[in-house]
Amino acid sequence: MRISTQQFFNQSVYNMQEQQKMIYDLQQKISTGKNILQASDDPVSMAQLYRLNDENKRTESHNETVSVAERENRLQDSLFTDAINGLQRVRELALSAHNGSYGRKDFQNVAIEIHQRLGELVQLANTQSVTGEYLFSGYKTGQTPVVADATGRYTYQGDQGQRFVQIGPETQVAVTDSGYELFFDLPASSSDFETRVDRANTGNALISIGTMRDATTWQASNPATYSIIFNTPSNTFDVVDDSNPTVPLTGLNNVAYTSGNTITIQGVDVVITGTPNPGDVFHLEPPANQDVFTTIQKLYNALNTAPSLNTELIYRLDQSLTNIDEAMNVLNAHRSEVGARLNIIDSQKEVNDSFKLWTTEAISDIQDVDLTSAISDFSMYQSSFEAAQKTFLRVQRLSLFEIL
Amino acid sequence: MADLFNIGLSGLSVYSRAIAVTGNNVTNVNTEDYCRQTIQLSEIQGDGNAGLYIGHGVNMDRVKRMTDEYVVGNYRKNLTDFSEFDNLFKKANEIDRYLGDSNLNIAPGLENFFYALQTASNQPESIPARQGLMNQAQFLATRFNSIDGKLRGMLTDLNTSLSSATNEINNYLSEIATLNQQASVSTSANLSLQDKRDHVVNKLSQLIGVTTLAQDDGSLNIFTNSGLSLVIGGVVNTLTTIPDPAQPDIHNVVYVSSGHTLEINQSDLSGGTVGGLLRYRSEVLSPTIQTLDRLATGLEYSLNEQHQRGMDLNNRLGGFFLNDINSSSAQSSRVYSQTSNTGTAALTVTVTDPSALTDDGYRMVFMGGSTYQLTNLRTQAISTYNTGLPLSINGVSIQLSSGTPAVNDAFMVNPVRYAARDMRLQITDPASFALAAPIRTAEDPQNTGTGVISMGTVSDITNASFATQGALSPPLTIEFLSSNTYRVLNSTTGSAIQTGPLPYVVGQSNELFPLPAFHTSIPSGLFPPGTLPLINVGELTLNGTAIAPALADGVSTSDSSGSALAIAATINLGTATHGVTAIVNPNEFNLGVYTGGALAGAQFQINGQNIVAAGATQQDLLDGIAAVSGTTGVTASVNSLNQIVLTATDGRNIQLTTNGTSGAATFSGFSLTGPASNGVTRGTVSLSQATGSIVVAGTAPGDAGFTADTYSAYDPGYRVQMTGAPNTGDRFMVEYNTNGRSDNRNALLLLQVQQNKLFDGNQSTVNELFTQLVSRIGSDTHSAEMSRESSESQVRQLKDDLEKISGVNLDEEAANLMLFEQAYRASSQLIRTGQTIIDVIFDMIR
Repeated sequence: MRISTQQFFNQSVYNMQEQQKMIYDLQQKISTGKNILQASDDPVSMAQLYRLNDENKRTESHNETVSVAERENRLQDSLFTDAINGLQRVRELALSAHNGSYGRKDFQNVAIEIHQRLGELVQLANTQSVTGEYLFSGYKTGQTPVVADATGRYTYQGDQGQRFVQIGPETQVAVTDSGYELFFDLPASSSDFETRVDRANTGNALISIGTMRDATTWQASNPATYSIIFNTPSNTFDVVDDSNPTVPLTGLNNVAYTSGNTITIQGVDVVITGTPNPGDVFHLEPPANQDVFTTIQKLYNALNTAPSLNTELIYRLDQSLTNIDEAMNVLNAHRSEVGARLNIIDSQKEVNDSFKLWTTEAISDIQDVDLTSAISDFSMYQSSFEAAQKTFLRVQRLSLFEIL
Repeated sequence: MADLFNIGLSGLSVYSRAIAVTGNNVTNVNTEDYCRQTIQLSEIQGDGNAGLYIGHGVNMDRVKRMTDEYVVGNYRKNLTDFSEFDNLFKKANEIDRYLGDSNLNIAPGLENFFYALQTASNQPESIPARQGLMNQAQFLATRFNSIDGKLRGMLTDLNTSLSSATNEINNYLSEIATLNQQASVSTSANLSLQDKRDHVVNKLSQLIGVTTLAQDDGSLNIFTNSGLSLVIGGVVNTLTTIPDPAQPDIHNVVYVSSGHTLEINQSDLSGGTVGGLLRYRSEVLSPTIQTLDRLATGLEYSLNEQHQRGMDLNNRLGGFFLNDINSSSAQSSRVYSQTSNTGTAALTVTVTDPSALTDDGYRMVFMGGSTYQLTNLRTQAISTYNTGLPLSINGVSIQLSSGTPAVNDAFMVNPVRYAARDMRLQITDPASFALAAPIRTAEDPQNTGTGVISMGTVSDITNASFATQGALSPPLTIEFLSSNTYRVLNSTTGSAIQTGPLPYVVGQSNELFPLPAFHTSIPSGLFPPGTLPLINVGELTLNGTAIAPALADGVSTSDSSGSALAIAATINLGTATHGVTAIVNPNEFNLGVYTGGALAGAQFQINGQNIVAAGATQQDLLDGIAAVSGTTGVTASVNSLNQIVLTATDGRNIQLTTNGTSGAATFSGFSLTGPASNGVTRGTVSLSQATGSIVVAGTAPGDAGFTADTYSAYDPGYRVQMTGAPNTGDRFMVEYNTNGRSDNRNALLLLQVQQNKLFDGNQSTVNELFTQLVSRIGSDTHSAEMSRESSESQVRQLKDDLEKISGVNLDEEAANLMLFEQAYRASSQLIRTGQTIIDVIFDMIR
């Protein structure tokens, strides 16, 4: 068979180039540690790699969120514990005041401590994060959630929003509870009373939280609901029992209104201040719910003014104890919920971690070069390349012209 | 003797030339496409008779090029294939490497963006977290821009490559033509001319697939694979590139014959560099740009849509997150009007559904009337549409924005063009990320029930509810009329938006808006017996359908004639026609507070049955009613105000009768004393219809308790659900989420975009589409590489075969050199021998 000289050279050079390319590829794989450098190396595996990397990164971000969720819920847990301890102390103080040997001075002393506890609780409800956001304002974290108005009534300024974060592909967990849920929307003792401005009122008048003047009368009339209805013009008002709205209560018909004067309804003193409009209505009724701050404020007011352990103080102490117990129940329920959330977070973290481990391993399986076999391949190609070079040197000298 | 001299001379002359040919072979050992030359010798015809014949020496017949046209042709064809695949592979590999580089491609950009979004969703009020999101969003947009820039740069480079390839082709073509002329005029076949021409044709084959046809006059005609003549003898038809009339950024190869430019189907140009480049463009580069644009479109659309449903830190509704995919400039940039169009029509393309988008472009030709013909540029499938514009196809709507088209005007439609190029982050202030939802809900602190309202999600930000920045128009109050009905009020004015009563079901999640169209008749109160109106034909129509009379007037109260029960049943007979379903509500009548007194005989009757109250207590009365409830169908209960409420659960009428003789039993709401009295009360009927509005009309719809009007569902542009058991009077509010800085609801929804199946008919996520793109390019590159390798080994094989025939072997030539030198020496020896013979004769003479 004829072989042209050029063919011979070309063939040798081609073979050496092929070996060189193999060595180059292997060298690149070994130096990068990657088996797949571009999609054409293995399109199917590359597609898997993209998916795995995406999932890996997403799991990482979920894990970051897991830490956030854990931190926030642990903080809540400790704040709830503080609040419950605070309430517990108030409860003990209220119980201690149920003591026939206490005099006015003793009650005042108890009142002083209760006032401090109340301050602490308000402060706790108004806790701010390091960045100055209020924790218990719902979504309105720029807003102080718990504020007392001129009548001593505490109002909630935040909203009822609750923030959730994504800790797993399908798992969201709450990281906040609104102050409304925690401190304001609490079940109340049905034998207590509350005062309320009717939602349809157009005037600016406010009603005080009320004080008990004559517990016996109130309890005898309970559970009736009463309305203070302003007449036209609004310088007089009627007080009616809602079950019989057309007949004013005795002595409470066409009463002249003076801002700040006390109105006594079935043993309860209330004070209306400001300018009501004709038709404005104020209610005195068994509470639909209570807020823990106003409850403690009422307790403080009663203790601060009680001359002795009279019927009115006993009534207030009883109501307060019931209400504080309800508040503690709600906080305890929320604390168990936080505990449950922490459990979910924990188990999601485990799921995330094992998923991340799995994806990382899968990525490594697909992408990482098997160094042992790569290096052994490399040595093999290297020696055959060297052999090709040596034989080429020898063979290219085998020319007749060399001998001529 | 002269013969001997002549013979010797012929040898000398032949062998010196043979040595020259060998020498030529030796020196051309490295010349590309050089064909080894051999000499062909023959004996010079001698003379003499039979048995005495003597030859006259050697003659060199010809110097022969050692070649094989069949092998050469095959070699050339494979050279073309190889060059095509080589170009395809090299170019595809460039994209493959580029997109495979994790530092450059989209995937990590997306991952980092969504990571930053998640971080921001954890602390929506945090400006640093929002700044991080802004940076990553900016990066993502820049990545799209730069990859698109790179790919479009490749498209431009490709135009240049095509242009220089056609220039080179043209040079070779004229070279061949020149060689053809020389070959046809030179009578003797010039071997180097042939080598040269073969060399040029080989070069040409690497640029484009050609077929050759050798002519008798020695010239070679050249054609493209599809049969266009490039060289005929000495005449050349050239190839050149011009911008595609319908998409100027793409240059096409066209055929120029005697000054006329002829457009050719680009897929007809196969083989060689040109074939490879064109294939790369149509199979790899253009689809890549297209998919990237589609990816950008879907991402922009989804992020924008969700972001607009949110609210930012400044209480403003979220604007565009990325650029608007349907901005007027984007809409018009998706259509190119062919420059040759004679009409004035300008078209625009609106993307309506990114999930339905494909990577295909269309050539749209106006056929006259309202007929358009669409050619899918990828599949070449042609479809005809006879309904004019706008035309909806694969997630886009093609509209006429101005002017009128002339017949045969053509438009190139690319539904996603420039989406990646034009991707821009629209947010310049981190506070402008709308991570909160614009609405929030609240329960009234006075509520006594256990109803729980969801926080609400926005479904339609263009709804009038969101028309005013920073407020809900109007804020709503949901007020419960009973434990299972409610109405919707405008919180600001207190006026009813949906008077209802709308039904609420305890024990399941209730969608508060929108509901199916719903309307309830007004309770009739107490009618004197015999006056409960008849419903005659035409008095009540629902959606235009007359309701047949509802039996009798209901005076006969022991049955259900004329009652709500009967009306509902009558309406439901026609549901298939008018589409309205009637639900009968329990008929309730409040007797008021029972203030005591016994009842006996016919003092008090319910539905014609005497009620006997043995004692004077409330319980005595309740027992009395319960005793006959099996007959009357009426039960009694006491409400929270201590009032006695009679209920006919099936909605039948309740007729109350007194003979006016009782002085003892009294009710606050119903008198048993005084003159004999009685009355009939009718329940209510609720109408409901899944979609659309209920039109209540007729000559006297009031006879059935209805008011003539059109009753529609109410859609405030958001959805709110409620669970739990609310009590009568409980209220729930929906309001604008003013200062809801810590709300991350919209951020969580934006995060969903990562996992939503946005593409390919809701089959693929953003990441999946990008992965498909990368792996598609990977496969294309891989298969191009395989084809390249196999054609390369074919080329090598054929080159080997060719070398075996045409290649120079130096050893062989060295041997030939020795052989010819010996022959030359021997020939000169012949002359010397002749000389010696002559000398012998001369010596004899002397």
